[in-house]
Amino acid sequence: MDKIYLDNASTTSLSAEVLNAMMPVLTDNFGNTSSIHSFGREASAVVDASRDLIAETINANSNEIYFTSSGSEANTMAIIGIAMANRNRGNHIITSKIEHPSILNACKFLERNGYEVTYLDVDKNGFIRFADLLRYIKNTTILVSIMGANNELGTIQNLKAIAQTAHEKGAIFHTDAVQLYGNMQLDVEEIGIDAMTISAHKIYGPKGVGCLYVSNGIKVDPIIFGGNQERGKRGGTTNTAGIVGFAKACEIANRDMRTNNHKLRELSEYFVSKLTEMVENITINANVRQKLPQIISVAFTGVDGESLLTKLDLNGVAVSTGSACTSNSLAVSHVMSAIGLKNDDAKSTIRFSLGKNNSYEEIDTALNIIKKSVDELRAYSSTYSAKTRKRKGDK
Amino acid sequence: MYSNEVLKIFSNPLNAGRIVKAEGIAENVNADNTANVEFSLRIESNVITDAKFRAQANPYIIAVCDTIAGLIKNKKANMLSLDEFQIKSSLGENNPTDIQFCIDCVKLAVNDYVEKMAKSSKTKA
Repeated sequence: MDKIYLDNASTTSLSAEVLNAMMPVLTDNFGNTSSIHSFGREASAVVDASRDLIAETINANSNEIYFTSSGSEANTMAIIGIAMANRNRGNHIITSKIEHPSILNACKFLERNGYEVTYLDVDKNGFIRFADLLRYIKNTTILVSIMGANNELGTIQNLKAIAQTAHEKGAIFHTDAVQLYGNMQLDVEEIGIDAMTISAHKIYGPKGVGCLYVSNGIKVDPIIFGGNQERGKRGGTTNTAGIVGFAKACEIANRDMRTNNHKLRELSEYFVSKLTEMVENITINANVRQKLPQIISVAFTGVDGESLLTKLDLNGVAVSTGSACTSNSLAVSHVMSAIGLKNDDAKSTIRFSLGKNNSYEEIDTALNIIKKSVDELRAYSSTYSAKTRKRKGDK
Repeated sequence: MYSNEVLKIFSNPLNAGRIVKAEGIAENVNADNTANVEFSLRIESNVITDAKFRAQANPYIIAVCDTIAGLIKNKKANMLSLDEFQIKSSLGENNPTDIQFCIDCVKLAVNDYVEKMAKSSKTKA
């Protein structure tokens, strides 16, 4: 049985083009970028070229890119590094309730260390409310961090307007663009982004490498200490092959953006339309235009999300109940709680995230498996028949 | 991550469903409100002759329910004794809270039967 992968927001497969770019570095160009000899210089040269390429895709300068081991590390560096370095300007940070755990947990760490953090509510589609941002931002606000696109809903925030509001109060604006990068042109100058997180493995690059863009003039402290790597901002031996793969993945993502976006929108619309037709009593969460179409969050009334995920997996379809970083937790997703989903709907929610390699044939096969699995679970659900009876009675 | 035993039972639960006009029936919701299970029991002359469950719950709880339903058949309702170790050994993994949650539901279903019997005796008297 061929497996069908519909969990691309968790991670993507490694592109063959990326692997080809990485192979010579893995096999031949193994030098340490910090070494003075030719092996080191050769490794350093490919890292510099990669940095140039990534910077160019977001209209940044090369010396504004700091390589990290992941998006989580870059997010942690953005929150803690910027807060620490700018402590003399204030101690207040604004973020939202639907951020990635690496942002939320870094903020909690800062709260334990004398900082004040405001976690903005979001509406039912996952958008922050500008009235809230304007209400809470103050002179002591040093950092506003709002994710570009949500990993569970796909909702895309209005980054330009958020940046403008942050800047009007003198705050730095960071965005976690891990899900958004590669799906939308992100010009940091034009949007007004001061710091931005990107990760390679979400765009068909290797795992274990990400970066933080920090605009020149914005102070950031290191959170990992070591040598003078990344201009003293991030210690640790440089992941040369990973960085080369990351840059190649960025190049491809930007080169193929228009084609991929078109394909993903059509494929996702087909998926949603067929799913709605085939399976009754479902709710598409954050069913709005301003989102990544390929992230589709669906609540299946009367079905436990984890059971549905397991049943789909046993039948060869890989999906998730929430973000991969929280999927081991039995608690209801913080994102689903934040958009106000009732507990019943939150625990019956599945995230489908389509990728550029999915085909219509795969989607058709997956839809049949989804329908069969939902029907099987509903046949012995202790809540489904009662709920449907109630709904009919309501009418 | 679930054990192979749990996945095997979850894939094909033998006791899923609901007994029509069951002598004992009860529903239970777990403490964090993430699982809902129901047991229905056919009880004849104080012996559980059939047991079925329905659930909106994770695969582990579904496997526990199916295992319990199998274990209690042909047992005397008023002398029912179930412990987590019995169930654990069938499933290869142990979550005492989830197991107790399912056992409690069976106990509630037995209580429902006992109460119905008591009412029926009073009516006859």
